Amino acid sequence: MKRVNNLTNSKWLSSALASALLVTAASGSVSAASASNSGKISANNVKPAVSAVSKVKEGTTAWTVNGTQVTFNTIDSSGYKLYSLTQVADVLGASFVHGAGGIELNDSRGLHTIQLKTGSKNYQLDGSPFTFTVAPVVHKGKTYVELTKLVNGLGGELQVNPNTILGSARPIGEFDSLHWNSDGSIIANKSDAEATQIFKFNTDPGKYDLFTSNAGATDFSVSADHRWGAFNDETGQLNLIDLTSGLMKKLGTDTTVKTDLIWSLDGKKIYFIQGDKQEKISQISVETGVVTEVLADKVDNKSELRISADEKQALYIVNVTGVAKNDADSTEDSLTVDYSKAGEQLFKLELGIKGAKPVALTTTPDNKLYPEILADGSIVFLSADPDGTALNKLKLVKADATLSDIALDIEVYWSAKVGSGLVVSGVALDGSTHIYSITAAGAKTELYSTTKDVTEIAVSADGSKLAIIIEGKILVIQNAKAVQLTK
Amino acid sequence: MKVFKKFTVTALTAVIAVTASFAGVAAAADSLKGKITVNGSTALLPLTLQAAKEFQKLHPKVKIAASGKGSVTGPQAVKKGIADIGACDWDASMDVPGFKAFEGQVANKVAVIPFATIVNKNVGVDNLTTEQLKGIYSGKITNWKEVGGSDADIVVITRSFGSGTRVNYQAKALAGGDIVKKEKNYKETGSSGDMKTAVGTTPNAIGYIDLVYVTGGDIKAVKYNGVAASTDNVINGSYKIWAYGYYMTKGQPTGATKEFINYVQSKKFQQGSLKKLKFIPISAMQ
Repeated sequence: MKRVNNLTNSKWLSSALASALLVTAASGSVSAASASNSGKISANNVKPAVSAVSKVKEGTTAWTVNGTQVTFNTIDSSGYKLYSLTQVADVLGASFVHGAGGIELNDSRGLHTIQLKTGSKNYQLDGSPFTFTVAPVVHKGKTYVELTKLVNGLGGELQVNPNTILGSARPIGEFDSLHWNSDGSIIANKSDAEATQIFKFNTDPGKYDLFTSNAGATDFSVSADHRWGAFNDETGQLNLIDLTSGLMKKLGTDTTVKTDLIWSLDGKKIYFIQGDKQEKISQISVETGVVTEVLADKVDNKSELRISADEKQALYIVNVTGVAKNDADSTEDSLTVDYSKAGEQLFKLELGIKGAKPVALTTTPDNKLYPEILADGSIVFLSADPDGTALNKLKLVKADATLSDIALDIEVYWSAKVGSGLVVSGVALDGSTHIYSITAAGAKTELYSTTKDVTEIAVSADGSKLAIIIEGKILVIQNAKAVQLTK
Repeated sequence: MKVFKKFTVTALTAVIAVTASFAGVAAAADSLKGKITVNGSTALLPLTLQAAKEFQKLHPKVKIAASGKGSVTGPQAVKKGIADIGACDWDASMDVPGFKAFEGQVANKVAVIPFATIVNKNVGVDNLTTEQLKGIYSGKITNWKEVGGSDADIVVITRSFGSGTRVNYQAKALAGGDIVKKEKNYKETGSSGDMKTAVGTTPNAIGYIDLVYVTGGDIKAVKYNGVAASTDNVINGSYKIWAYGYYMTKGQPTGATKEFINYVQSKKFQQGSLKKLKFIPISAMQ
């Protein structure tokens, strides 16, 4: 099983953490107040909510809010730093109104409401009662509150050292099924959600939207230009989803079982394994929805279909089953099962040659995963030893059928073709995970390494960014920085 | 904002000119290894092979070898020690008509399998009741005109003894009624695929099959007591001819076998590939 590492070392503060921070600044006076409904605290409407007016220290604190430097006015109240409500609300785009009952704030998305009263530690968040450590106070006609509870209550997220605020908190939970779309957003499924929730993430943390709740779209095959996803639902119906807008449309009317959807490079066709027993290879025209049979050789259990960029070759795996035999009465004594030939074998089919028959490329008993057709027609796949005595290797089958290993300093656990080369992920002797790009000529470049386990990888449409999943969390790697989009 | 300082990041100076979509599951360092053998139900074989493919991406060093020969051979193979998992369309740890319980075996639910009564496309009947089906399979009703069809002999096609589909069809569709072997207009088939072919190529034929196989123009499903065979009708309780599919194991599963069964029962597989193979998740009936 995978190693489990603690990922809870984030410095981001939850709403449960104490928010008031000690301050050093100039002194002034503090008084509690009610306020007008003008959107500004009016000095004329200030009414004492606490009887004593004490000396306070005024000051300022710099924060980065949604990537922009902001300096907030603060005061020291009872040893805690409180922040200007007006400033914080403005910078987060929250609206607020004042009334006799107190102040009501609403976040920019209309998702959260805070109701508070100066001089009172009690406040309401989305209708539920909560408590400040220090009551909001009015100082020189302006209301000051605890920063963390205000930011978190408005749906934001706060980090100290360095001081950073996200106007919209990153979502919490586990994610999978990573994809990039053509506009540079990441689409991922919230795997721990009861009902389907597929989100679209900007690469800036805290900027995300619900993309779709369609359960069938939990995973899909992405077109080469990253504009479309294709998936079939439980009826077998193929659907296309616009990866920018989330709009869907049906493709054709065929409802046979389909697996391993693969787009042609030009986006005009989708190839797939077809049939109850995965016995055929077919393709569907994206323009007309017409299904055309590519191969029907009565060999069952095909999978891992790949189509070369020029659509002249198909590569796939046949999962050869064991052979069970018994007598006509199905007696236990007569039953035998021969698994000696069971396992995955690679086959290649020349699509450009009429009447061509599939050719077996392998006969060995190793597990074969992630087959790919390279630009020169050679085949790469990951070979894993089920006896566990040998390390996983990348194998190369050249056009002349010669088989060789691709030497790497990691045990490979994943591989995919990207452009004319490969991106591979594996584990070094020290247990660290490394992601490499490998050119067709064999040159290796490390893209990323981590002490954590990487469970999914996706490359952006322009090839400049990686999205990865570590322990269910999404991270984007760009410009030599790892940015965590979920927590 | 660099959240995790342990990460070493090499600048992605244009990873590669991307010309194809690329994303996928990557197994992390993984110590699970071993060989899992699965034998039994042909109906469950596509599910097993799809799950095996996905499981191996998480655990590349686990080999899963599967075979299909009818449900009864699943628990038989487990009992004989020649398979780790017996795929079976009934709970073989309990007595069912025709088969004694396999003592010491544990039934692990993995799927819901709907079954349908099918007829050749030339048959004009579109609904059959329990009593009519009992009459047909017992040999008391031999002509389609007796059940509202045209004047033609009914060709009865059934699965061989030991088939889970047969066990369930007898128990559910025939309400425990017999399937009586006949001298003529009668045929037995050894797999779901053979059943589909036999009914599709034999005029006036009737048979039964997993709903997933009801595709193409040569066969059609008929209603059962006025209710169409559909996953929706199974889930809403109006259609009764269905069963759980099980992975039988010798005692509680352990090691790689346990992990594989856990994967098949996981939300990811049940709500994903299992549904796309036209099975029904076990959670839909609970």
